[in-house]
Amino acid sequence: MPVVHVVDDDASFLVALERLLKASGYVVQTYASAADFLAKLGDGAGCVITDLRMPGMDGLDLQQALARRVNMVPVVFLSGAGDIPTTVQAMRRGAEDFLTKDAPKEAIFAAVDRAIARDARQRAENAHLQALRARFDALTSRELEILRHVVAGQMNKQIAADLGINERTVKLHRTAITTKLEVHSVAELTRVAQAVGLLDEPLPTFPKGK
Amino acid sequence: MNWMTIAWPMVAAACLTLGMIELNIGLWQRPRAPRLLFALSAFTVACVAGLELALMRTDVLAEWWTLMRLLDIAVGVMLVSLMAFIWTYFGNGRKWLVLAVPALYALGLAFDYLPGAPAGSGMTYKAVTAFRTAETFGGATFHVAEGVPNPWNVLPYLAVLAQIAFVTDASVRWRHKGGGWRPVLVGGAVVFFFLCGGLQAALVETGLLNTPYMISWAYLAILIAMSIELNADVLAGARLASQLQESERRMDLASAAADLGLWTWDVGSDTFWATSRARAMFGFSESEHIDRARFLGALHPDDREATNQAIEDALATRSGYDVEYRVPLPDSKIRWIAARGQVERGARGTSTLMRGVVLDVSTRRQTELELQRLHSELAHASRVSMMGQLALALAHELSQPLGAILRNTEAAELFLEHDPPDLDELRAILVDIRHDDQRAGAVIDRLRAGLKRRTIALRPLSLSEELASVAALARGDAMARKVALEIDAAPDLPLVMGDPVQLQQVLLNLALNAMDAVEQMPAAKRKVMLRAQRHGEGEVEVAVKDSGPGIAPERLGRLFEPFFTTKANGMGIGLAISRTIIEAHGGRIWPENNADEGATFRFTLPQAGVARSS
Repeated sequence: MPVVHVVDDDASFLVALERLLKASGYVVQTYASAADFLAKLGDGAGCVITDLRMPGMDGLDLQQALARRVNMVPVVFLSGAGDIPTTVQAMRRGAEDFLTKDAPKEAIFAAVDRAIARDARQRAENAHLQALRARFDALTSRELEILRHVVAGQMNKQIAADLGINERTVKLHRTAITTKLEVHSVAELTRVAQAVGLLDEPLPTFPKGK
Repeated sequence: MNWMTIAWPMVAAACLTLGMIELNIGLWQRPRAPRLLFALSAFTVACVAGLELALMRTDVLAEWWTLMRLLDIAVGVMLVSLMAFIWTYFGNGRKWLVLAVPALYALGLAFDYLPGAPAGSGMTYKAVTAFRTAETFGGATFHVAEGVPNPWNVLPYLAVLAQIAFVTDASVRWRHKGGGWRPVLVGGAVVFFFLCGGLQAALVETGLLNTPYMISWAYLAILIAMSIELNADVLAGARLASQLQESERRMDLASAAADLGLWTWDVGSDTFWATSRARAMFGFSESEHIDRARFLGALHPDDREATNQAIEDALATRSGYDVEYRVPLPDSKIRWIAARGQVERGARGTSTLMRGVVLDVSTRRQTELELQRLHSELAHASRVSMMGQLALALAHELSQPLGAILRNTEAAELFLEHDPPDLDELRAILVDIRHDDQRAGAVIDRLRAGLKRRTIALRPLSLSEELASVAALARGDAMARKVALEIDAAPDLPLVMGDPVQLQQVLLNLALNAMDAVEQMPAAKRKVMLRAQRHGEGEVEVAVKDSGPGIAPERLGRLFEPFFTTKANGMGIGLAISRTIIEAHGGRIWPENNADEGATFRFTLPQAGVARSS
């Protein structure tokens, strides 16, 4: 069950929001300060609703601190009166939503739901990526080299000429690659390679005819 | 006709003139006795001169004797009156010498008038043997008698000697009593001419000097000397009078230049005397009779009681009288008048006087009122601008309770949909809603109080509460600017006398200034501390300390000047108004640089219930 973390230095508002969210079926954790929240934050799913102005570490500081974590918890700002520069800064840094404290509860629930959904999505993507990386780790260095040439769009004959090996050998390696990565087409192969960041690396070049 | 018939009448005329002058003064001016006695002496000297002239003109023996006897009386009166004059004028001398003069002279005079004295004899001569015509300077001729001298004729000379002794004695005493050189000159002149007169008479009577009697000449000289002495006082008086006139003129000029009206009030007869300027100020006509009721009636009704009380107080304590009151003018304007005066006990304590000045201070009062109004407006303007700065922070503060109320009502609606509804939770929600509503109300009250323009209203208040409420106001701003705002109020802090709104204004101003000062420091070093603690006897000190760069020494002295500012968008009125407010509270405000870092503004306030020392 995803947890909604609420951070606000105003105890009264904290309690009121907690009541509202709990009554609507959310699992809620409250914190009187950003530092308190960061200290207790585990790895569970959820999002954070935070006040912007707080003594000590304020909302923007909290957002920055969260951005440094692997699993970035989505942040919903709930502020008394946000000025334009602050709001722009918060949104640019990826805040899920920026609401005022007198926003209707539906807007708050919608923002929380969006944030939780995004968290879930991020978590799912992370898990998928992790699995892909594991499959890529199973490739030999020769297979990885051929894969790079494949996703660069080279034909088997070209690859064989470039690497100075038999075209048949290239075909064998490609079969091993598609089997290990559990893909069925070159297009799919390209997509997973892109997902793990393989395409960002430049293709190794060798002087022709050598 | 010869020069003698002119000279002696002139002597007589001079004596008469002197006598008339002193008689005239003596009749009008106290003390009378010396001048009247002087006049008597002068008239008798005139008689003596006349008789002397008659004696030198007559050639009938019987007539000569009659004149001679009259002359003796005249000389006697002259000696005695002169004696009495000197005695009263010098105010001292030996009484027995005074009495000796008439006594000795009266004895001598007995030879002239005692019944049974032979017809051909008198005080001067036992018998007259011959008349002859003598000639003297300038060919003037006169008759002179020759006869057998009477040895008792020594008596009038003894009287003159007694007189000389008296004058000498009286002069010496006068000088010892601090008379300076005046007694020496006056006494010396008198004695000298007494001697001259006596000697001349003696020489004539013994036939050694071939002139008529010239006693009157010597005594004229004495009269002149005494007249000069007497009138030195008159002259001094005249000088004094002219000085008085001069000083009166100066006074008039000064009072006219200062636009002062002068007044005197005779309490016993309840009559005011006032200069025309003073009358004009109250709208009294030149001839109108003014008494206390009329005076009070001219004042503004609201000022009558206080002014009357001030008069009573001044009369009761015999002290100064210093009031300001209004006089309504016909054109429905108001004239402000400052009156100052003092009570003077009248002569012999019977009639008391109040004397003083009135000054039209309407212009000054108007300027003061105008200044007060301007200051109030300026203070208001600065408060509004300060409130403007804080509007955002206040909105933030207000949004907390309002947001909480909204969330609680929404939660309550959801709870009501449960079956059965959780009543305990709903009750807790309602308690919280009420609490938050009060919080919001308090914020609004503070804002409203801050924006309202009003005069200072002192009441006992707790500085720790004021610090807390100012910190609440400034907290939003402090958070936005990442300034650590701390409060430190000593637990045993006594109450102070103050106007909460104005003190909050000062504290806010100082707190905001402090936050401005630390803005350029790194976030971790932005600290502002509000501290309140006891300060000496009967005072509390509030310090607003910052961790900024401090104040340049050359600016320390100028910070409180109006429109002096070091900020790009500052008006330079915050500190000026803060100082005005603190001083109106009877406190002091001053800045200082801290030993370690930053600056501290301190101000003091009098403790409630402690008498102000000033």
